[in-house]
Amino acid sequence: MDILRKIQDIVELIITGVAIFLMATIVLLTFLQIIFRNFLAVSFTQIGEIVRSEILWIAFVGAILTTLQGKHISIDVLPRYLSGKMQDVLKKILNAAAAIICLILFWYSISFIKLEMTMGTTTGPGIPAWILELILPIGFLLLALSFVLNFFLEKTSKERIPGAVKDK
Amino acid sequence: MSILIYFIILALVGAGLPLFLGLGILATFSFIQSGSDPTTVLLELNRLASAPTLLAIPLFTLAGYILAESKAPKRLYKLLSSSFGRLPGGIGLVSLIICALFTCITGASGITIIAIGGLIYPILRKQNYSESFSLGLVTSSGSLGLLFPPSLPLILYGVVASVSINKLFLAGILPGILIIIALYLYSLKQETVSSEDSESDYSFQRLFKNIKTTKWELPIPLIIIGGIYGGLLTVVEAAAFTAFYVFIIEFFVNGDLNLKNDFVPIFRDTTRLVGGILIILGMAMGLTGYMIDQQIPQAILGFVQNFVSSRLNFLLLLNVFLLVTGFFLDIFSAIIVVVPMIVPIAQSYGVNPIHLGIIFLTNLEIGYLTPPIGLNLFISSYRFKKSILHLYKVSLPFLLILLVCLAIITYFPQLSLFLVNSIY
Repeated sequence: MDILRKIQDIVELIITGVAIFLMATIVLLTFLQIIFRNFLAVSFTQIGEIVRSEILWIAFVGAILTTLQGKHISIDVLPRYLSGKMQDVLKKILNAAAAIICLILFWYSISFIKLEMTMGTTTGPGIPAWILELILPIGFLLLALSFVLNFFLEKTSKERIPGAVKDK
Repeated sequence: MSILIYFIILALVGAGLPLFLGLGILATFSFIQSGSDPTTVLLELNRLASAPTLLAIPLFTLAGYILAESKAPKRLYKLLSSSFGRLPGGIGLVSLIICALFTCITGASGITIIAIGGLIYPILRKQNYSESFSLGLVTSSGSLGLLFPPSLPLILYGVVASVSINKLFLAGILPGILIIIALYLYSLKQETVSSEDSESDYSFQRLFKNIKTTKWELPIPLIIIGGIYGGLLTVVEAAAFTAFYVFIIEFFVNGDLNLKNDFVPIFRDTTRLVGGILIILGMAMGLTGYMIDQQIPQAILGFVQNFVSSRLNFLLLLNVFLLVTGFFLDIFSAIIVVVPMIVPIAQSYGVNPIHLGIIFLTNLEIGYLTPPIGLNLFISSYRFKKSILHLYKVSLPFLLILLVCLAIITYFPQLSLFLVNSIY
């Protein structure tokens, strides 16, 4: 279990780093675009395209962070009526199902990437589109890993309110 | 066989499978079922990267998180109470405005109740407002600012329904003010013993001093509104500018936050919140793609038209439907999943999609407060350590007032469309 927890910590650390990098570059690059366009009359549509594709990365990185903290948005009507022990069993089933679904989607994202490679579209300053889209298979694989980790480690109900930064 | 698989998927979703995976596998399976290539789901998900206005969501949310974590709410409260505090029920009004401001910039994610509610609740109690009124106000205010720009749900609705976000921002203003006035009138009816400090708080000198302490935050609405409607900035650029500006003033100029302790949690949690919503949006786009492929919205439309003849009946049905939706789905998922189905139907009844957006958000705002599972009730119960049943009780009067406002907003489209029509 210790080794699994260590893996979880490492994944969380790396993903947090990526999250901060993405957020910071989105803010900075978009801000610079405003400055350049308004004051220097230069427009960088190519940078704009790259920044926009970061949205997809944010979606996956955010989803992985949410998974690691076990607080995904869901319709959890049923668990409210179950006993504590049944809830634990249900959690195992859900984590297993989630991991399997992520692997299915991982499989199809591989064929999506292959498709994009043959199409040969490019983004921004000549970067092949499929490179920026690699987050799809990587994201689903890491999500699957996170659900597997949750299956074994399921956090001792760290009560957190969705979206809240911290209790003050 | 396929019915069994659909049943298993729906059962898993009902049991608490993360919604984005439920939507994803439903779309994948539906495409396989209809003999199409399920890779389309990924193609649709990938379209997130080409929707230009979506970037505004993480940027405004980041700005909101930074502001909510800083001491800005406290300073703003002081400023407002030194300007409105002397009005009858002034502190109630100030509380409503503060909550609305912070909900609109933090996207109704529960922060208002946790951070701002914690600030306001003791003040209301000190002003001798009853415990149940104060608790009810703080709980219902958690979703109060949804209709004001640049609220995250407004942007999301604009993206999903392909409606101009600039127009939506304008449309929400008057209905939002209506709700605040209605709640203010209710707070006037409360018996309070006016305490002395609110009286002595009021002086021009104090007002002036408080303006000075908030001088860096006060221009923010001006940047957003002026930038967008002055034609200087797009919505995304206004969002980036705001995020950058707020980051500089709260981390460096005011020094409320420091890089060592606050930077990582704020940036990480913003990504987490926004990513959790965006991934649902991306997956839902796959399912929507399938439904449009199969002409399902048209089928629903034909079905509804059999039963509902007039626009008024449709609006009434819509209200009921959305309130029920609010029981099961949080506001973001509801927008993402339900809007693509509703927009064409509403248009066939002559409902303006901008007006529809405002109806939609007002409904969902009320959903936050509706027993048994309104999210704000739970957050408030957690934050203030009160039983959930107690919260049902104290928020009931607020719920009723909001329902009246909803009726007005729904049946008087001019309230939403007046500003839009006079500017565009």
